This record gives sequence, structure tokens and C-alpha cells, in this order.
Amino acid sequence: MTPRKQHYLPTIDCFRPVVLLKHLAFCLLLGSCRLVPEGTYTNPIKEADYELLSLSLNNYNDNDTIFLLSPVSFTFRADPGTTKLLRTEVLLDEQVITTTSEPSGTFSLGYPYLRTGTLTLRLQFITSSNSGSLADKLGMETVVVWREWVLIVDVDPPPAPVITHSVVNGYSVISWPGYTKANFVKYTVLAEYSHYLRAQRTFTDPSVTSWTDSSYAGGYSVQYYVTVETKVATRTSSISKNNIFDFTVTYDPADSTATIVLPPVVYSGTFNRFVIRENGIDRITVTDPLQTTQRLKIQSPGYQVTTELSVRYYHNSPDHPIVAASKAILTEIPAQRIPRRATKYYYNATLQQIVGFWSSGSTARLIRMDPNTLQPIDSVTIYNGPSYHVPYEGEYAYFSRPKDLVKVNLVTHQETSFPAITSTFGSGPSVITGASNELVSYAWFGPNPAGPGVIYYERVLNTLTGTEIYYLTGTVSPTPVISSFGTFLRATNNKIYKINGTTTTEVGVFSGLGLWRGFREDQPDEIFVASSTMQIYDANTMTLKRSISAPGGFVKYDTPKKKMVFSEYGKVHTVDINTLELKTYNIIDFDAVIINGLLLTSNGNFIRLY
Amino acid sequence: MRLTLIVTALSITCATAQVRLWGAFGYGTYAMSDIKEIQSDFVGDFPVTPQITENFPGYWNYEIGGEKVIDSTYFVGACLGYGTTAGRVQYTDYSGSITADQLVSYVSVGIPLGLILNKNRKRYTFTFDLRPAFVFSSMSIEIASVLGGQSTKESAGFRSLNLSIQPSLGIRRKISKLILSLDAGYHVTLLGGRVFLDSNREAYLLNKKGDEVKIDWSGFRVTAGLAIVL
Repeated sequence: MTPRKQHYLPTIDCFRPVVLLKHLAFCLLLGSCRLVPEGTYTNPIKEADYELLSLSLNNYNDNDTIFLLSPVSFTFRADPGTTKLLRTEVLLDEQVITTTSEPSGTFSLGYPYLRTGTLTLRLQFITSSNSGSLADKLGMETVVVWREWVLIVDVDPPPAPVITHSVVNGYSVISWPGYTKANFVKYTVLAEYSHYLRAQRTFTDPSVTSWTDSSYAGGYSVQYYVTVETKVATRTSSISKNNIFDFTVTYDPADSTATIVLPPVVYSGTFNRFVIRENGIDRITVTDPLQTTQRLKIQSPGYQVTTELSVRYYHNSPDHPIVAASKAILTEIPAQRIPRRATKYYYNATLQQIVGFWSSGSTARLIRMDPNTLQPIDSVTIYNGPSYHVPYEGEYAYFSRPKDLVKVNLVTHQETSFPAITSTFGSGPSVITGASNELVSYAWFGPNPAGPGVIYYERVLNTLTGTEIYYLTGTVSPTPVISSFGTFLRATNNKIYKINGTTTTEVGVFSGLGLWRGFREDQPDEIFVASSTMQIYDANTMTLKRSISAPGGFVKYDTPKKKMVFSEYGKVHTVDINTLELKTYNIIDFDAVIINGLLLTSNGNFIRLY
Repeated sequence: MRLTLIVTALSITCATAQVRLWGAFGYGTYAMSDIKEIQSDFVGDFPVTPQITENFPGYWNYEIGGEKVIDSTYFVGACLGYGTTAGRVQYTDYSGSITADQLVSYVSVGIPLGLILNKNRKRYTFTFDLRPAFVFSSMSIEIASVLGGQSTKESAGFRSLNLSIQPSLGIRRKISKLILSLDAGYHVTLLGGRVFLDSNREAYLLNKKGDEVKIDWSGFRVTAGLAIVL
């Protein structure tokens, strides 16, 4: 056993070569004992082909320089080929203004990016290789493809147009300086007239630098606006014309003539005619614009009133209202003072004078006056009784005294007294009317001899013979009226009698509807009745002969002038009873009297109306 | 250090014939289920689709130890073991590469504890060894990338301790003072410890489900050894 020990003991001797080799082999084995992974996986993908990438920008591709005069929109297209487009960017002077993930699209260069000057437009897109590689997946394999253009920009707004106005060939013309840059869009001309009418024109031709307003006639204001619109901005200026239509007028009261000076026609191209109107009625038409001075005889002068004179300017612009101006001028007829004022006035055709009645206390006077000047000619003193009458025809007047009726000659002053009552206690004569044949009608009342109360009397007396040709008593207050020539009598109960010499014949009972206004003085067989119209009846037949109408209510029949006089507020209308001619006078005097064409005012003046 | 230990162990001389020293190397397979799961997670975390080029394959392992035979029937002793495996997830293309390695190794301190099944035989003996052991594991995760001409590398180290047994059957042929041995067994991890981060021992590895990760060395073992009877 020992040798075996000896055999094996040296085997643990480290310094023996065989043991060293064993140790070395073992150590190498241990040194390689750690598993170190060495496997690899290679993905056989290829790199992207970047030569396929391209960019395009509208039709500017072939240009390096782009001239811009206005905001503009571009369309672009990026072709990323096989790569993956990440985003497309538009940069203006290195400032990103648009970013999109689409390969194509539109972007606008407007404000505030766009400014006058030289800018750099850069269009670029960023792609990843889309190869699927590790770098691609990590976003480290991107490519920027770009192109640049030089932008020469002029986006200054247009200057405000300077508008000038002129009249060319009789038309209103506005002009403005032309806009010559290529970013011109249009001119817009707007005319705003003072009567809210508007007219607008648009010109897309930059060489059009004026506009003729063929409708403006003047006489009203107009505001013209001119707008220059470019692709950049719009600028508007305005100019106004304020041609007020007016005229001047002077009035000569001596001949009631107005002198009208028409305005000069500035825009003769639209002129049609002037029409001068008096109180709304066309009087003069002027077709020659150079005839600017016109004379007009005022048809309706009056008293204390004005006449409206207006001028209408008719033009050839149907869309525009007629231009008109009006003036109220005082067309008062020159008045004179009444030399001798009276309370009542009558016209005596026989004397062709006006007879005025004046009274004071128990005294009255009948004053004969000149029918035109009202100068007193003569006067006769009479008793101021309850009644008097100055007939239209004859030289006599009649008045009452307590117990008698007196006929007085207006020229000779000779008086003739007629017992007028039949009892001691009766009233004096009243409701006296005299006729040219010296018949006179009157009434009175007295105690009823047969019983209580009073009894009324009416009578027609022939003062030439002193005979009574008509007599009636009753219980109704009578209002007998005898016609001016003494041929008809209207008695109580509207009975009409025809007087023939010393007898009366009853014609009948007058039944005409309306207010009795008496026998016509210059033609006594006609009866006036005021209704809605002025009705004239035949006294012989009591039938309606005709009617006359005029504005307002019937006032009187101015016998010497044969005018039916009507009145309404501020106006007096006359209608010729034969020709029916209507005339109007502007008069404001409710208490005025018209007689023989004279207006006798309440304040003691008189004017001649006709 | 490891080399020095082995040389020293082989240089020990024992004065008694019941004691024998041995060294062995073998081949083992490793379950590494949790670690493989982490590796799979690596695959999903790559920006590209890599491949697992190493999936913790079986590999060589080494042992040295000594044991004493008692009554020609039992043996007991002590041993040191060392084993290693690794996993790799890798991707390479024209633009670069990225590699995630998991290098795992262990050093076990075991107690050979077994029976000699045919103690009367002189030429061949058969053994059954229970071999309980403490397994000290270390794992290094290294992630390297080459991209655009630049290389980066990051790594992190982990450690854990397992308790295991490795029931094995063996056959031995004694030739003079030498004994050739061949053992086959199965390594069973009885208790897996947490995998702590080297740089922070309060941090340990969890999988995506939130479960603790174990380094599981379970697997078959085949070992061939040479012992010297002292």
C-alpha cells in the first residue's frame, strides 16, 4: 500500500509539470465557464430611397422669385416617395406659419405675416425613412426636404382716392386718380342722395376714373363715395355737393305781380322744365332754363294773408323726386281807410252808390258814398227805429218810427210818412223791404183785440198811392219780403205772391229746402236758397233752375258785380253768376264785408278784390 | 479568486481513506421561468421586433467538494458549485443594433448527503445523493445599443439566495485511489428568494404582474467527476 501512496502523493505536487498542465487545463475550463451570449439577429431591410422625394408649389416651381401684391393662397404638394411624411411646414422668414401632416394642402400668406418687403418663403417637409429600421422606429432617421422662394411683396393699402367734382355737359361728374398696381380689384362709386335714394356703380377696369351721374339734378344734396378696392385693402373717400334749390321772389302790390328769379340750372343735362305754381295751381311753365326771370300776376291776392308761390323743377331723372321750393309772400292788396265808417252797407243801383247806415242812440244816418272810394257824398238823418231798408233799386230808403213808416229820398232828403199800425198799442214797423216801384213791405204786432196775447200784421203798401195791396194778420211772427222791383212777395208761411199793379196773386208755397236767402236783386224772379249748394229757383214756378257750388258757405250775392260770394277759413271765393268763374282770395277777417267788389275790413280799411 | 479556490481544493491532502475530495463538471438545464418572462418583456419593449437569440440554455456547471464515507453506507460532505446561463434579446439592421443580455450565474454551497446503495460491491458503487444547498445567484442585465455611430450601454446587477435540493443517482468506479463518478439528478428550488437590486438592497425585482421574480435554477443535472480517496 505504501508504494501506492507514494505513487499518488506526488500527484498533488503543484510544481510537477504534469500537475501544472492539469491545473492549467482546469483553469482554462473554468475561465470559459461563463456563458456569454453571442447570438445576433439581423433584419435585412433596406434604406429608403431619398432621391424620390420632391416638392412643388402651385405654378411657381420654376420661379425663384415670386411677386406678391396681395394676400395669396398657395397650394403645395410634397411627394415623400416611400418615406413616411411626418409633417409639412411653411416658413416665412424662418417663422413657421403653417404646419400640417398632410402631403398637400393650401396655405395663405396674409396678414400679419405678409408685409411689404423681401421675404423668404420656405416650404419643407420632414419624413422618416419608413424603412422600419431601429433608427426609423426611434425617430432618428428623418429627412428634411425644402425649397425656398424669394417673395417680393408690396401689400401697402391703396391711397385714399381724391375725388373731384365737375359739371360736364350739364351732368354731375366725379373723378378720381387711377390705381395702377396689379392688385387692383374694383372701384365702387356710391351716390347717396338726401332723399335716401342711392346709386352704386362698380368698375373693374382700373382705367375708369370718372363717373357721370346722369340722374343728379341738383336741388338736393348728394354725397359721393369712391372706394378703391385692392386685394390688400379698401380705401374710401367722399365728397358732397349741396345744391339747394331755391328761388327769389319780389311782389309788387301795385299790380299784384310777383317777379320770380329762378335758380340757374347747373345740371342742365337733366333739366326738363320749371313750373311756377300759385297756391298749388300751376301758373307758368318754363322750358328754357335761361329764362330765369318770370313775372306772375297773382290771382288770389287778399287781405292779411300770404300767397304760396312754389317752383317745381322737373328733371329727367324719374327715380328722383321732383325738386321744389316754395315761398309764402304777402300778397295783401293795398288797403285804404274807409273815410266814413258805417254799420251796414248797401248798394243802390239807381244811384250807383253805396249807402252806409250809421246809428247812435235814436239817431241814424244813411250815408251815400262813392262806390269805389267810399268817399261820403251825402247823408240823411233818420230815426233809429227797429227797422230800415235801402232798396237795390230806386232813390228811396225806408225806416220805421214808433207809429209810422217813413220813405225818404236819398238825394232830396224828402220824407213821406205812412201810418203804419192799426192800433194805438202796436209796435213800430219792422222787417221793412222796399222796391224800386216804391212798394214797401213791412210787419208789426200789437195786442190781440179779440183776446189775450199779440197778433201779428204784415202789409205791402204802395207808397205812391198810399194804398194797401196786401194785408195779413196772424199769430205767427211775419217776415214779409218784397223783391227789388216789387214784383214778388214772400209772405208768412213761405207763400209766394206775384204782385201785379195793385193786386197780388198767390203763386204758391215755396218748398225749396234750405235757408231762404231772398229774391235776387238784379233779377227778382229768382230766389236764392242756401243748401249744400247755392240753389236758384224760379219765382214764377218755384222750381229749381240751377245750382252753384263753391268751397265754403254762401255769404251773399254781390249784386253790382254779379258775384256769388262764398267763404271758408282764410279764403273768399267768388263765382260769377253767369260765367261761373271761380276766384279765390286769401282773406282772414271774419267780420269783413264785401260789396261792389270791395272788401271792407273790420278794422276800417277797404281793398278792392275785383 | 474562483480559480484560486479550485486549485487550493484540489491540492488538499487528506490523511484518511474514508475521506475523498472530488471535482466535477457537468451540464445542467435551467427553468428560469420568471427570468424568461422578463426576457419576453424585453421583446415587447423594443421599438422594433427583435429576436431572442439566447433563451437561458443549458450549460456547463462545475463543482468541487469533499465527503466522508461513514460505515461504507452513508456519505456526507460539503461542496461548492458554480453554474451559469444567459439570455439575449437582439436586433440589428443597417441603422444600428440593440442588445439586451441577462447574464445569470450561481455559486452554491451544498452538503453532499447520501447513501451508497451497494456498499458490498468493490468495483462499481451506486449512490443516491440528496445534496441540499444554498444557491447564491447573481444576474446582470446589460442593454447596449449602437445607433448612428454612437454606442450606449446600461447595466444593472441583482442578487438572490435560494434553498434547493438536488436528488441525484450516481455510479462510481474506483480505480486505485481514484474514483470516477457519474451523477444524474434534478435540481429543485425549494425556496426562492427575492431578487434584490445590487445598488439598493431594498429594491427587488417584480414582473409586470407585480409578482416577485425568482431565479429558478431548477433542471436536470448530469455531472462527471473525479475523486481522490485520501
